[in-house]
Amino acid sequence: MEEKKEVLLDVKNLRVEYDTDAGVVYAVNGISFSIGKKKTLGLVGETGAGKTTTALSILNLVPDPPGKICEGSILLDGQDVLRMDVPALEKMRGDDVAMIFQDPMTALNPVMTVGSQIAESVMLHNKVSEEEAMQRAKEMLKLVGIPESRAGDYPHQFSGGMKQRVVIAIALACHPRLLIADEPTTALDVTIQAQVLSLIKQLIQDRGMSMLLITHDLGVVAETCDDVAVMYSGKIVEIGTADDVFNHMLHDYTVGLFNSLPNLRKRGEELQPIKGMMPNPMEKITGCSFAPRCPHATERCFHEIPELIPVSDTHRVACHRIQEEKQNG
Amino acid sequence: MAETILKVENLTKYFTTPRGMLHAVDGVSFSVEKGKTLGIVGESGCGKSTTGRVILKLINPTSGKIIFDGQDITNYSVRQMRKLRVQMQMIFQDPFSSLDPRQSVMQLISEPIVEHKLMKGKDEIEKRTLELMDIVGLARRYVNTYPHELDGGRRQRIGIARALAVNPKLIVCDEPVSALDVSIQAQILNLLKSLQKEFGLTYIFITHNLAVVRYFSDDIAVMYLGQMVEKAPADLIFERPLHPYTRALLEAVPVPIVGKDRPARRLIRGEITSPVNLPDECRFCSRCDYTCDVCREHDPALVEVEPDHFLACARIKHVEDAAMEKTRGEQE
Repeated sequence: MEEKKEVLLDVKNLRVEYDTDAGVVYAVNGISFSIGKKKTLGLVGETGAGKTTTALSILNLVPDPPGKICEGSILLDGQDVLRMDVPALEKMRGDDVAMIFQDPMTALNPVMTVGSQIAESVMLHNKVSEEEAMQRAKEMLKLVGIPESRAGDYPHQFSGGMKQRVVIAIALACHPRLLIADEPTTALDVTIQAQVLSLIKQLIQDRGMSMLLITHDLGVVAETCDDVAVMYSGKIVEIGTADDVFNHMLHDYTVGLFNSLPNLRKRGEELQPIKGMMPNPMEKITGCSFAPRCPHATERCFHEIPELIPVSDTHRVACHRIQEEKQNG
Repeated sequence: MAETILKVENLTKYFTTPRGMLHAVDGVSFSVEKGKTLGIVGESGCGKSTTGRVILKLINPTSGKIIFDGQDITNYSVRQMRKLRVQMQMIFQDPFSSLDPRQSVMQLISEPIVEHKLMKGKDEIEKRTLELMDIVGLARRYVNTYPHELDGGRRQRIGIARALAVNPKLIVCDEPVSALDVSIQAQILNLLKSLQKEFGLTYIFITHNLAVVRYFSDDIAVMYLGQMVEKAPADLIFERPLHPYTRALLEAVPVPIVGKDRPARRLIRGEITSPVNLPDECRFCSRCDYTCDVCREHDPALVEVEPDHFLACARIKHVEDAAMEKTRGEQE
């Protein structure tokens, strides 16, 4: 793992629940991970795995009620986000951590020009005049590949890819140290997705930022991330470097995820989907949450929750079978 | 000799907008053999969905010809089309909005049977509905549930069962798995494929996902701004893409490979241009690396450049030479 001093974000044993009319939804069930300075962590998983809830927790933005962060700590450069007061939180959001969302259309204000939307976030966090802020906004637009002359245009005058560039400009305007990108390119066409990904990659590299990239697309992860965490049903089941997870995957869910992908290079043979469905997040898990779908599940998997155990310096897996195999050599 | 089930000739669909004529589909021609799958790929706004809808005459074409199973249906009336609906069906992208939330699974799946008066007795219809649920892999215990109680994969199975209920010959699948998670996506793709084998279905498979389309299709057509720019058997398109846009599209897909086997990728510049009031030039020329005066003089036609491989590009010689040079450079 990373040296202590190089860690920017350290999440420990995070547990988040949503108290709904129908019952308690266990969204995130005790996860721990860290992101090093200038590193990019990809958080992969399917709908309902708890990826977005994890991201919102880092900004302490889980809607409360119904959401509740029940347990855990989130240390950003040593400071616990979950114990910050409101002014400190407001400073942290935007100044230290910024977030971009999947759908750029809902993230932008339709009745404000894009220039003033960027300038607004600059002025909120810096003591600058309106002119200076607008100047910064124009610089940011140029940085993301939009001509300054368009600062006076409204969101509807831009295409989807351009809108996402504007969102990126707003997020980066205050030089945050951590960027949380929640499915940033999912709503975009492939050729535009490629452009936006390479833009994000280049910007965070130039500015020495860290990134938490949330996605369901393993291709996007391979493209951008140093480290990868695979989430299933509110738990991290496997975490390691991109090489660990892509080339030496161990958890049966990770294997299943890769096998479900239609291959761009081959065609014809039947896909191997993971059998069954995600478990109901309202049921309290007493064993491995993947056990009902796992081809190797044993009695133990249904009764005992597996912990993340290291299999190498960088690679950790939550699976009884892997653990037993390791113990038995 | 395989039987052609659908033939489309020079199909166009224009929409009048305040800013001028929008060329959604602009002179598309192709044919599909019985039991095969034609994949239509392209990005948002390329006209792939409009093409699918025009083929089924859910909207009427501006010009061109649609020949289905030997009949010219281009000018069929709504009443004539109604009779034909049992032979051509559609599966939609979004199983969340394409199902009536107030109908139970039983009502949803039996609706087409009742609507087209394929069966009369209540028992008979019920039996057929349950049978359809078995076919699409939807457990019978869901028969009295409503769409909001089911997840995306199950909802899409209802959509498929509805399409199958009338025993169609042709199904237009418009992004049938795009709204689903990968593990569920694979289940639905496998299902569609086995149904094709079992019932001899012909599919037109519309998607933006290149990996899915390769897995699924016999032939692939690539569309850009209302036109077909390249069409060939699936493997040929992937192994020997010729049109600069097809190449760009293939290279833009992020591949889930880490390490030395990871292919290099090149970005294409710009974005899709407006489909309104198009000039007579190659529609890709403003984003293409090989553009020259010829491309701006007129719009290239789709021609067969090698057996089964159709291409609309005036600069193919240059594109191929450049590609050869690139491979040579890489080998050295």
